[in-house]
Amino acid sequence: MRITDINIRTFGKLANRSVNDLPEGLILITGDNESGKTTMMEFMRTTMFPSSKRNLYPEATKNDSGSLILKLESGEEIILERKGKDVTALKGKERPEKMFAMDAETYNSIFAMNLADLTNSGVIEGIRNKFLTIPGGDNVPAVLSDLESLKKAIMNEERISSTNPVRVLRGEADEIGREMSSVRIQSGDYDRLVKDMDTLTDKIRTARSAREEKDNERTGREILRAQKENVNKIEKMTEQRSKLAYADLLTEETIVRVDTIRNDIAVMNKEAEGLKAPEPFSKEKAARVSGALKSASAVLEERNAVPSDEVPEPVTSGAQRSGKKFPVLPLMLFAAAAAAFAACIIEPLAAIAGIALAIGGAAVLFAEKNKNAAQPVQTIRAARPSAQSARESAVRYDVETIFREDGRRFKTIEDAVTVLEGMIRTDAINTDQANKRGAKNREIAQKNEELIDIEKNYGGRDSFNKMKADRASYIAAGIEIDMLTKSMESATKTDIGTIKKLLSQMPEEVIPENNDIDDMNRQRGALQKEIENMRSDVRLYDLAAKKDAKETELANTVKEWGVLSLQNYMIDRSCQELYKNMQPSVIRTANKYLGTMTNGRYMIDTDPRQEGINIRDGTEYKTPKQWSSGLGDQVYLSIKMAVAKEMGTERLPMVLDDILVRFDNTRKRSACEAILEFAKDQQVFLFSCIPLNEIFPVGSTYRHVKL
Amino acid sequence: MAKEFKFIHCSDLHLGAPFKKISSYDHSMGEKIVNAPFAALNRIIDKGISEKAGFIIFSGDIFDSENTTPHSRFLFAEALRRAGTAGIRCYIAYGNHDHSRMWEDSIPFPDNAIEFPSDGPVNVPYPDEKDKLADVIGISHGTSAEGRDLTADIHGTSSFSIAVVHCDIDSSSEGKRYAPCRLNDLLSKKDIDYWALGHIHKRAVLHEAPYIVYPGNTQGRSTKETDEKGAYLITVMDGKVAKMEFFATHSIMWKELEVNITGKDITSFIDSIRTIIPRGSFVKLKVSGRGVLDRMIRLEQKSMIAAIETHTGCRIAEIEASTMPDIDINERRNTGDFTSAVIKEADRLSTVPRDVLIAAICTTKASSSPEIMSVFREMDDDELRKMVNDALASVLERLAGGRR
Repeated sequence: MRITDINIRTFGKLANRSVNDLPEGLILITGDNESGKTTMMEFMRTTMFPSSKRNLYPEATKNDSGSLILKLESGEEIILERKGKDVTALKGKERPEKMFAMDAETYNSIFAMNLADLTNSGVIEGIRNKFLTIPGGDNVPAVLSDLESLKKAIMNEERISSTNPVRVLRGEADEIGREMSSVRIQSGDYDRLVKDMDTLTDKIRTARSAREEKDNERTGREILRAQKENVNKIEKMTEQRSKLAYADLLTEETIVRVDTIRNDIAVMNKEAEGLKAPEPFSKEKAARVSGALKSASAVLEERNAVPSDEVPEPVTSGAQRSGKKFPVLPLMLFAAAAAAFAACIIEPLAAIAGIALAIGGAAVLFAEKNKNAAQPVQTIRAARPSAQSARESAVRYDVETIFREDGRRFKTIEDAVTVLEGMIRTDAINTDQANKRGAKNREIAQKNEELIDIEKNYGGRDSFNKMKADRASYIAAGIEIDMLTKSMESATKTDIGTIKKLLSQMPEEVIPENNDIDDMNRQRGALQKEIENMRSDVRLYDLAAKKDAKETELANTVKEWGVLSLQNYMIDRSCQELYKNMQPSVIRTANKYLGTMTNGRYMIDTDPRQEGINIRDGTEYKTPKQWSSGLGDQVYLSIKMAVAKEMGTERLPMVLDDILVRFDNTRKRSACEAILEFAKDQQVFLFSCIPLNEIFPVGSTYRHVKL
Repeated sequence: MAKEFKFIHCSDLHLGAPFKKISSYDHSMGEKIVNAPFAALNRIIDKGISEKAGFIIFSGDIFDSENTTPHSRFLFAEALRRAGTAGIRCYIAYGNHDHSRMWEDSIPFPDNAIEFPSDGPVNVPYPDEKDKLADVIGISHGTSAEGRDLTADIHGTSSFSIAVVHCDIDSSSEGKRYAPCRLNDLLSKKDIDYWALGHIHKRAVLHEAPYIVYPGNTQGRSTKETDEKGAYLITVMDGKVAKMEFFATHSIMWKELEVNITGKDITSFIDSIRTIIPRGSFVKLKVSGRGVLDRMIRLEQKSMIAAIETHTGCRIAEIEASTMPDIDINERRNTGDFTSAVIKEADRLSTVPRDVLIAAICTTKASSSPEIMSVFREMDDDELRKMVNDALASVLERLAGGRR
């Protein structure tokens, strides 16, 4: 399609301006600034593809009017009539935007533009996505970016960093591995622990035996020590007893015999004691008493035969004469005192004899007194015949003599007779007692002799008695020694000889208590616990499972990275393939124009992996940020011309408004060559404030319109 | 009177070894996971006691050397002791994972345990030479990379003869081979009635009469060890295997499930899992097809797993996705646009040698480090090629504007 006629009646600053019979190819429209170049371009593009957007320059008015005549490649002519903002295709035809299914924005971005439009990045991105990538590949940069991020999140490219999961997991697995080693080392100690425990058990067993031995020894020593005093006692007693051994010569029979004799003597002495009485009168006295009695009796007979006056009996003693009583009580007290004194001073037997004597004496005296008292005082009778009296006096005398010996008194002959008769009776008794006593004493003497004979064999009575006492001590000591010995032997279960020997050999030091066993038992308990803990220790399994889990996670993570890497690889390889063999034709065309404009220096890089539009300078790769503004203009112009060339079947006119202003002359010329190349089969309106015709290559074909 | 006895054949208990590739260690499951191999051991002893087995054969890899602890040896010793109390003898041949042993003095095995040496096969008749019911001949590994054919010197007798060995029969593995041997060689040893083998975790009866048996491991430990795991109870009557019964010992069962996402949303997807997999299983999901869920599988896998686990009661150990976005790859391959270029590149990568593919992945300096490259080098071919598919699906999604 081409524009054949531009008829502006009113549009901006232009009025009644027409350019007609426009040909194919390049139409160069030049003019000074403010000559209406931009206004004409705006008229052309807004009439072909009206936009609902507000037109900024020139500002649209309702008076805008004019027409464009288009001629399709089919030869069909379309007249677009403009009034204000309304554009109408005459003769019922369709307007271009409907006919080519293209809106004003697209047309303006690709076909009709000023310098600002040329480099509009949004437009460029749209073009890239739409025309410069192959189907299905437009997500490649984003996908690659994702893959890059995901891969790096697992593992850096150059070096696995300490924060990368791969390293972290490896570290965790290694740490578990170290822990496992530690547990294994501990487990390796099991043998040692069991050995230690066995050793300790043996030690404890040995120590227990030793302790038992020591305990026994200690107990033995204690028992022995406890017997030491007894042993000493026995020894002392034995020694003492040995000194009494001589007494053992005294036989039991002898002792019994002696004891029997002594006992007999004692009994006999007692019997003899019972026979004690006053001594009988001597023969002479007995004869005198008897004679006196006889005489007295004869006197009395004589008296009785011869009556006589009563005459008082002569007083034969003061007492009798005075009639005083006989002092019995003082005499008895005296006798008792004498006996007591004798008892204290002399001997018991003598004392007893004394007492008996005193009592006897007292009794005799008392009896005499009473006798005397009972006899009334004789009245002295009348004088006797002298013979009689002489006889009486002789009798009295005899009696008085006799009585005087005994301290007796009498008053009368009758009394004397009575007394004398009593005396004779008593003497008879005494004589009998004396005889008996004599017999007993003889018997005692005989026993004594026998006793003395025996005792004499042992050195006399005292010696015998001592020997007897020593013998008793000897025997008693023997018994005591026996008892002690038996008691010790029972307690120690050892004979006395051994006890003495052990005691003599027993060291004095104390056997210490063995507390090591308790310590060893505690150690053994701890070991046992440790062994049991080890036996139930499942940490290694747990750690092995954890390590395996970590390593599995690590392998899975590496595998995940591998799958990402493979995706990356697949995209790379696909891109390389496409780069070589499946380059879009737009790129090829753009590169033709860019090559013309840059004298073949730059090529557009079509790697789908790259975002935006990039170029290569030989092998050097340049992103848009590295471009100069002029290079950018060249690249974008090339691309737009290529897109315009490749887009659709109807080649729409291209309208360029002062897009070469940033080029130097060389670039301008090159750009013009490219545009001329483009314009060979597609109409181009090139508005310029500079006379480009002057730099066009000689022989170039174009139409020049001056405004 | 018929001479009859029973024995149990098990192997590869791997006591104390962790489960493999549980990507996020779950402490709530931890105890169950740790206890599972020991629970399997106890089930074996229980079975031996209840069935009045004469002996139990452990064909190696009872422990994992790396993870053997006093705990694991102590519990094993206790289990042996329990068997001994019931009058059960235990024959033990060690494998590549437990060739070296610790704490033998401090945790000794009871007298009913017979450990085969590594310097040559030893015959320990059962129950004894006088009343012999079987000859049990075994040998253990001497190193972690036992290169000898341990079966070479094993010879049976006229009695029912059992060979116990941890070995790798006719393996085509490119990696290390442990005690390699040939099936034909085993078959040529006519005097062995039962080869009680260990090493291969998948149970297999390679031959009958003579029996050549891998009972498999007693507890699956990874997504590769699926379904029931256990041991064999063998009944021998009159010198011949009369009955062979497999019994399960696992506490946790690994399952592999293939689900197609085409036409499914998350609800119908979860429903399709719930109806198939028993609760409590550890599941490897192999998802395929095209559809909207592809995006969720690739971008929101963790939350998707959480949703599946919540609604199925299973533990999703791994999702192996070979899904695609809702794009017809074949149709797009020839459109000439960028997408077709990517698809063709993926096609090319799917066929390049491993090293080329790994080089295509490891393009950065950091990724070219041995540490990273080893991860890819250790992947098997399928896993490595699957990455290409994952990458294609993801990149198509991204190019279509599905991701930022």
